[in-house]
Amino acid sequence: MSADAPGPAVTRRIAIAGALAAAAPTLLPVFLPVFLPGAALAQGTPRSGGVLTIVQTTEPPMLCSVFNSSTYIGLISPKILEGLVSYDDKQQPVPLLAESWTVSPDALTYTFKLRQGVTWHDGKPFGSADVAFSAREIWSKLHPRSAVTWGALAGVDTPDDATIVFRMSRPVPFLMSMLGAWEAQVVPRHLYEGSDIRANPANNAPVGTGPYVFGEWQRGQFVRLTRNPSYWQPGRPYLDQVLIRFIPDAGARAAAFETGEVQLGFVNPIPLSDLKRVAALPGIAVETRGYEMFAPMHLMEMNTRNPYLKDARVRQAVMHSLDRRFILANINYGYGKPATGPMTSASPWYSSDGVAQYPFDMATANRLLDEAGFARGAGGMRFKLTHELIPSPEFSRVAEYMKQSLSRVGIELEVRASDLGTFLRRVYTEYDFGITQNFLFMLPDPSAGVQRLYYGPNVRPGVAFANASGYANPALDKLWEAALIEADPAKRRAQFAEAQQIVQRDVPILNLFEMAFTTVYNRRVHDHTIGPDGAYGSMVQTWVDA
Amino acid sequence: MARFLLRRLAQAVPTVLLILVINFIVLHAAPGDAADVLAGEAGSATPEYLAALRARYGLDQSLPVQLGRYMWNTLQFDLGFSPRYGVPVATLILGRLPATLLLMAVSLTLAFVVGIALGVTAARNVGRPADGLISVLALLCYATPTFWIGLMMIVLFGVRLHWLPTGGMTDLSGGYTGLAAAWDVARHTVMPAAALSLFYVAIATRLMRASMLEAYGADWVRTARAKGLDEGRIATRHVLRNALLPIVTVTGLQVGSVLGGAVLVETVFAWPGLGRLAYEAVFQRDFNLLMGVLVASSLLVILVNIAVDLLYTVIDPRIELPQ
Repeated sequence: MSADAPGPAVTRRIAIAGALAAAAPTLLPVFLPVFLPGAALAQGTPRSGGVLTIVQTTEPPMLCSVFNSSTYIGLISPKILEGLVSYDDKQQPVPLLAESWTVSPDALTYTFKLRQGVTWHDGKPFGSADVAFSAREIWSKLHPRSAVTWGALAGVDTPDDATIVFRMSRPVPFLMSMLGAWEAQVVPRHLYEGSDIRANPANNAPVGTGPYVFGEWQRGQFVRLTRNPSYWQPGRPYLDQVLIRFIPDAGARAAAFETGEVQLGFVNPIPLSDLKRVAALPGIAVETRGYEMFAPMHLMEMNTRNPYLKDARVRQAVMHSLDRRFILANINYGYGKPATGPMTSASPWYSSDGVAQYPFDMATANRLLDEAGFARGAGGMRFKLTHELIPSPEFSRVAEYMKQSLSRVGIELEVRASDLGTFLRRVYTEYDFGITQNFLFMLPDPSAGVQRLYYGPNVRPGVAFANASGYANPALDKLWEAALIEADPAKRRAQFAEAQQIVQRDVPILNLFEMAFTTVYNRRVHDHTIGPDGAYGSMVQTWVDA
Repeated sequence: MARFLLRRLAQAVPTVLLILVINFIVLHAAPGDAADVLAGEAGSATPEYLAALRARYGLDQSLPVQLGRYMWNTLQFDLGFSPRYGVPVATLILGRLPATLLLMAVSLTLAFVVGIALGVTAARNVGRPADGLISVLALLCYATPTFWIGLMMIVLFGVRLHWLPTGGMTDLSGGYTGLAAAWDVARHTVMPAAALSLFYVAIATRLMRASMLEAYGADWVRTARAKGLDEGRIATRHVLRNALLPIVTVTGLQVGSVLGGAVLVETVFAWPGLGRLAYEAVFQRDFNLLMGVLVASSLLVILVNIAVDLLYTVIDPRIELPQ
């Protein structure tokens, strides 16, 4: 949580929770993190039993994350299906379905020892064949990010039922960051092999190894998960049932929190404009951690094909003309933190060393625009740009602010709000835009999440969230290519540090804020968010007061 | 009767086909397809991933081919597959149909009954305070946005008074059976049905009042009065029955608009109805699903209006079915 948080009540609560989080891991015996990866909110004695109702704004298209990395799926699926590892507070892998692993010195061979005695929800034993099938047939072929992570998969070996070996044709230094329950779920081979995988009924009614068993999905209403009685962690999970209810209306969600009908919601269940009121209700609290690993960034892509925006000085001027502290305090209600570059400060690869900054400064903005040769014309305006966004309470306000602010430096902004389908077509297929307003996940590793936006060869019409700005810099491209296969973390860190400097100098994308998503919860719910990917967690540790 | 039904059903076929073609053309005017939106929500995609999705659902075909295929399948009662949900469209629609019909039936019945009662009362007291009060009330109901009424009801009856659940159709922790389950659904239906019916109550009230007043001016009412019938009997037997026809007609027509207008109520109360399914399908560019919902809705409207035509003959024996 940033120091800019408004609402003293919120800040204080989070500060206390933060202190606990800092203390907890050091108190735990070293072998425990297997069960409690970074016990962020550990407090009180867990109680078995009870039902937890989670509210979600949008219904997921399916319940398997291996074919679709949508957040709406990711908030549910990891409770049913597990990955090989989970992550601690430093975003480092800790055992889950894999008990241990070794990486060969050339970073080409990854060997995992799998946990024994794990069974699928249908009673069949889990083994290396399941992992091999998932990697060969699904992760490397059907996952939306398959090419980045698994493009170099040369072979999978299963020397025995408890060992799995991935052989890579080139080093994939970030492989261990991409093996969590959202990114790389292990699915049961015995249900998928020989079937039409994308149409398999298990995609909507998953059979996993996780703490909760899929119960039912009443479309338009809810998903019901029940306790896995034979989960491999003895005594876990605590909850008898987890219900995920879909309530599309923000006012109705707030009411459901007030009555206690729902007790937990992730990814801004309550609009920030109403959050202060809801958070002040007795028994309701707000958490902002649990999203760090996926690093959501509020950003603006600049179309460098545009005759004005192709000049880096114009892009820098736009950045200078935005008072980000004002936006943060007045539009985002303090949730978030000004970004210093293309990576979020929670990333292990973050660096601000020598990275150019663009403080709010209208005089500099005007000077840069003058230098670029775009003098003010009739009415004091220099030129006109379009601003694309998908309307949301906060994004629409930011767009209004942008329009005003840019008009003061002589740039006329035409705000074009549209729905997701239209936005994607305009921005990522037709390149019919000036500036976008968007938020994107920078993902656990820059090679997967950041590079795609700034890598010249990744200008690919029709591919959402590829390089839309059209920016291409051969020197930067070389850095990305080197870092993609660099096995030495120190060298890789240096490459990313330089990349951050170049990106922030050229600003093809204005990285405005590290977004702070909010999780709203009833205080009866404990340990709902554990670890840097806690919002997308398994809830194996979650319990509720009687 | 059988011939009438057959003829009306036969007339419905070209109507539905026309609706299909127009909808198809209008829907495809929106930029983007289901694959775009799925990939957009996923936050990443490769061109191969997108191509595979499009090929899977036939989105890579030209529009005339897609339309032709769709028509051909629909004529065989096959509504196709939803790209978003990965299940047959018919399954999704049938799953939502009970909730839609329940909400529609309860709210239209409520509107019909309450509207007639208020309209009759107003007409019998025309010019008096009761008439004025009812007219103001009707105008208020007519002018108030449905979603706002819905939210205010939630705040009052759900949050403050704890009388009714704030949303959904069933109590998820319950596991009720039999009568208890019916009671549970009834409790969840009260607010959405009431919120949805208010607008239609207003229309029915106004319409009923006007057509009652018109009937009061008829010769047979004067005759009835002349032969000494009491006012109550005149109102129910001579005026009301004659004044009912317009309101039955309008209620039949409203079935269609309730299906559409229910989107707001369904959204506010998280009611699993067809309106929300269709509304979300627009944003998800799930055109197969949307077309399916539109086909189902137009069939429903056509069927209800045939039923209304039949009802005419019951209410007014002077009307005969066209041969």
